[in-house]
Amino acid sequence: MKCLLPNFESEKLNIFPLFNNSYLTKFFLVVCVVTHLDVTHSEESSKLNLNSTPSTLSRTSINEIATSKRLSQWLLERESAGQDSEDDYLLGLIWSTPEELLQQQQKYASLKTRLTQLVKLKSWENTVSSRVSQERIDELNARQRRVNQNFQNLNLILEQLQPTGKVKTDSANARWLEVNPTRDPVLKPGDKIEIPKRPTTIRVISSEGQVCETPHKSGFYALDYVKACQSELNGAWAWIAEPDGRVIKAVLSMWNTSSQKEPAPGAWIWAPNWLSKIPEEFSDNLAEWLATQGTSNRIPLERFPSYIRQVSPELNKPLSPFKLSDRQFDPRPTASDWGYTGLLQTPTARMRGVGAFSSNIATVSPYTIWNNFFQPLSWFEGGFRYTSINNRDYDPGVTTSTYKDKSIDFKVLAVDESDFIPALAVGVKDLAGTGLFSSEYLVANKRINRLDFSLGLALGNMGARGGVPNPLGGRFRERAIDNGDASTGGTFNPRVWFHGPGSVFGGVEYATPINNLILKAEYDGNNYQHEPLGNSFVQKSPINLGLVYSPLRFVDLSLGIERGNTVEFGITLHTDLSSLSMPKLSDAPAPPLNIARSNQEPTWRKTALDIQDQTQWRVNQIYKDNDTLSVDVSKTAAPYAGSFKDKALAVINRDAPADISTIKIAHSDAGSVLATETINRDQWVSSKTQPQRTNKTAEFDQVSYDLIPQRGEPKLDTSAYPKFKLEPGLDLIEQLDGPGDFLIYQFSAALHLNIELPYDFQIKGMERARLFNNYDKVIVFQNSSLPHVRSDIDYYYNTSELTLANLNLVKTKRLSDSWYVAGYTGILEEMFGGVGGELMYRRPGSVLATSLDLNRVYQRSYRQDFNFQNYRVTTGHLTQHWITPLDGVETSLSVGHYLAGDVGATFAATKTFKNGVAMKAYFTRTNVPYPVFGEGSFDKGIMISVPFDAFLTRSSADTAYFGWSPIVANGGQMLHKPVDLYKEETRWLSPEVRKYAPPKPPNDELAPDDQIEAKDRSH
Amino acid sequence: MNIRIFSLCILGLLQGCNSVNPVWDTFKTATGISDRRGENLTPGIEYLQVKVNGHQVMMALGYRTFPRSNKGVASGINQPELNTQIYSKDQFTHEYWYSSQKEMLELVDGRIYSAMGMTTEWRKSNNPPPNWDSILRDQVTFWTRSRDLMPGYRYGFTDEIQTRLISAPTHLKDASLDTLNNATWFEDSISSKDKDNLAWSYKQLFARVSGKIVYSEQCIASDLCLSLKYIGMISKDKS
Repeated sequence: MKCLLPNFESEKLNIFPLFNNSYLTKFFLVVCVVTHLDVTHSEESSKLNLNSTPSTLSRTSINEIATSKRLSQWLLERESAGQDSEDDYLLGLIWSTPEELLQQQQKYASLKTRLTQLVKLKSWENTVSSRVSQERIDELNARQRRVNQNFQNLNLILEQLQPTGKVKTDSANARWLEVNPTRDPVLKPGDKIEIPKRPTTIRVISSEGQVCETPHKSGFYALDYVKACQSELNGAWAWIAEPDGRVIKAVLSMWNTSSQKEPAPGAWIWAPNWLSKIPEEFSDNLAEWLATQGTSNRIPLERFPSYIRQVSPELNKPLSPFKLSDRQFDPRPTASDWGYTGLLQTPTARMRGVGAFSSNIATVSPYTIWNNFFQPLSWFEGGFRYTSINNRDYDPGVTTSTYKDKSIDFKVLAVDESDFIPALAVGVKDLAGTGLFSSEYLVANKRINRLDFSLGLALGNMGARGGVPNPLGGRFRERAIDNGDASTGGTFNPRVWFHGPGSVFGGVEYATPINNLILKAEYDGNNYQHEPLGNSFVQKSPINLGLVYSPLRFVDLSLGIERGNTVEFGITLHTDLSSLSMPKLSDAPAPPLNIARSNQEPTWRKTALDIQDQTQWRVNQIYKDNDTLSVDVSKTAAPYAGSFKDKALAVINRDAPADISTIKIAHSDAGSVLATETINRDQWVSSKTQPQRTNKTAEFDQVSYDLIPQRGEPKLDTSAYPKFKLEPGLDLIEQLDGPGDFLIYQFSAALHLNIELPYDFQIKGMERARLFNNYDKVIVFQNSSLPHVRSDIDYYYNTSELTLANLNLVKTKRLSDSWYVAGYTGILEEMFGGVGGELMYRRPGSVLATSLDLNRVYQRSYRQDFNFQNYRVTTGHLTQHWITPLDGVETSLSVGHYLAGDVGATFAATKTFKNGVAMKAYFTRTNVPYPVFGEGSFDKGIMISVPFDAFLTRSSADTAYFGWSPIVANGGQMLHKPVDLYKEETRWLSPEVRKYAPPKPPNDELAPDDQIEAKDRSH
Repeated sequence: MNIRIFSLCILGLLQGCNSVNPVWDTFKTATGISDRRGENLTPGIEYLQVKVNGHQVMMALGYRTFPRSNKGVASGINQPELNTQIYSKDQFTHEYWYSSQKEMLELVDGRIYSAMGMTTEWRKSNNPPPNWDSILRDQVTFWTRSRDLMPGYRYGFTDEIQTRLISAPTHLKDASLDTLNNATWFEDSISSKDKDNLAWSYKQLFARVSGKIVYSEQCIASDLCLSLKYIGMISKDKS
């Protein structure tokens, strides 16, 4: 019987509140009735287990599939035939395929080999030296015998857990599967289906090779079952293999607390003792293997070499109102007054999640502090701040504003927290600002459930209380006075770093059971007697107290008492940039997937236009060669190289004639095909209409970089396409400034022009009509004797309302397999015009690339029209790009001649998350002396780029840039070239290009089967 | 003319020539200018109007299973002989309702029995609810509900429920009491636990007309409380 589905559009039923409260999880206390009889069959079991009964080995027969059908159909037929029962346990359903069985046999062999390797490793650890006593020899031999016994048991357990061929399935509800064909497996002859009876137990495997069976209780967690089965709790982690084939890493200790999922009836739990030193990689693989076994009671317990049947897990003691022993909540690091994660004034060793960005303003008299902090890597936190010293004027001759100080910080997590070792971080505050607040610190953190303790040593401003001599001794004992040179500032001053005496600091943070409320208390290492600019404050108490409350998911409010006499108030806005995404509600609906192939030749022009409409790619040509259809497209790399492919394939599959079995998508730029993806049409259709038949992700496409020209009959009349594109839009320019206004901006109407000419020549340009700006408030220090190549920015943005931002004739070309060239001339950017070119060597798929650019440019008039000033210069750089193995951080080093005629180098490091959001930091050092450069001493800055796609409901290839540079200066300034061979024109050659995609929504917005375990969510 | 006004006029005029402008499209979507969503209900299909957190969704009936012994008499209103009707093996009427986003609600005599494809799923309810007629007779009934919940593998999760006959409530989330003049009203008082295993007590409402639940307010989770209004079959002249 078929479902009748109406033809209407409606919203998804799950409407998520915009701001979800985070939930405190608690133990669910269930009264258990102990009615079991226990039998212990282990020599080493120290527990006497009474009253336990063996689980019923309840298993239906294995059903061989004779004819192809969907699982939903098979289940409904079984129901109609009366073969189902109330005890059917569909979570433990096993769908076995011969394909998966083959793969599991290989995995099984490698798992056993790895186990053998571990035994040898342990044997080496216990190797007896001839120079030790007999007593020691006996001890080592006894230990080795135990190790051998344990690994022999584990090996025997694995002997029982033979490959099943089980493929992971979604919920096996027949009537739901019917309308979800991508989740409804197609059963084929040779497949097997097994539906177990609902189990009543859980099985726990220890690293000693013992299997413990204990009754399942709703509301109990892995910790409860492990405690029931093991006399001592000696591991920090357990792995749960749920009956549906999913693996969950569960916490057992007090330092790694987090909210957890329960083991379902019939789950396996692997709980290794930390003394066993079994590598995490082996535990991951073993758990994955257990997840292929279906319910844990599928095999009689007696078949295992060492086993016990355990009584029910003990009831947990009721939590006190403070819930100090609660292990079911997620710790949430928050910002300190100074932006870094910490308490109030002091930092902690905690880090935010990867991709986090926070912007907070805190006020504690006489300071108002605006901090912006980033977490590009799990172990690195960095940021910048403006500190307003409200009882000091900036410069009465320049502005009436209060004194503003700029500074940069970073913190590195040196040691991860573990059972006996605290997390350890080292950081520097006010690294390259004026140094008014410069401090260095080492801080350790240890968590006990809801309490998080920190203890550290600070030098400099943060440790001004003193009292602790510098542990490094020697020349580190004294710290040079570093009040910074307020006129320039910005220099690194290693003569000060980690020098001088310091002070201890520390405190505790308590995550209360009241939703989103955190209490903080700290001992402040600063006595405020030597504050910058001659300030000193009365400190009634070195203890600071505060609280943080989060009314919304992305807002933290803080309130505290500091110095015993000063109120602190702060507000923090924070988000995870790596998970930014927006549902594409405004995109054209994707064409329905046609399984039946068309027998007619389509109207190829419509095919091309539909692809363009769906993807915003540019279709250059379509070729047909026997059974292969090649689609030549360009502008496909941004922001996500692969995400539009399915939409394009849906159109191609709809239109392509029946004889087409292979589809090639040739990605072109720089006047050449850069990469070709070859797709098997059948496999692609199959991947969109039914679940895979193995647990391994199917690869239905291959990418190649062959320089093979397209073959076949061209299907498009290329002259039919528009070559002229005029696109209106809005344009925002912004920069963070200092004493004048924090934010300097210009909002304009913009007109983008693009004309394509023969031989791959292009004319590109943009005209701006200023709507409003505040560049009259920008304060630029003109004390630099360098040519004013950038510092006249206020003139450029205030002289004329209608400005020509750029207008260029450009051409890019691929010279050979790895050489590319670009040439351009015209109005290159707002401030310079001229002529230039770039040559780049980049091997397809390589992490390295080298480019050389050379430009002869003339400074434009302030009106930004076609006139020029007298200043002219030749500028160019040799640049080496490298995608490092360090979390995919991309670096570049450019050496050359800058716009002001200075010579030097620029280093940049960029972390790009999978959703395309990038965090970049850079600095430039040239031969310009610090005093000549002016404030800031050398050019440096931070930039965040966010694909428009991450916050628009319509797919977009554009990117928004948010930059911060302490000062607009003239030294170390590069030309903004109209063509970027590395980032834009040849992006398809990067080995990373296909990894970018819109991120999956957070788990609380996904159906359970679609949720991603934290360990599997990549950034 | 001021250059700014001129620029905005040109921008506005040219916007019409621009086939794809993601910012403009987002603006239109956010402001509802281009709201393409329409409820194009299909004649001959029975619908259930579901409201959750202020949003409305229409769900269509896929199946209705009747107790084998009660063929054709289990429900009194709009009881069509369609191919959506099959026979259930238990003594209850099961209805399977589907949203266009492929979510599914299984109702047993008007109560949510399983919910699939949503952020919280009821994979299985392990015991059936009490019969409405028995509550009519006894006025109040205490019973226990055991469910398998996802996410979190909360299997064998139990609720304590008191169901009683009540007079018409004064306020409903999504219905006019006028349209439910003849309804018999039932109320569930449920002692449950939330996702974080904290105690969670809540109430549910049911309006029964001619032996069928035509309106109810029920919760799948604390953040997923629904009002369900039976619309019935769309006739051709209404379409």
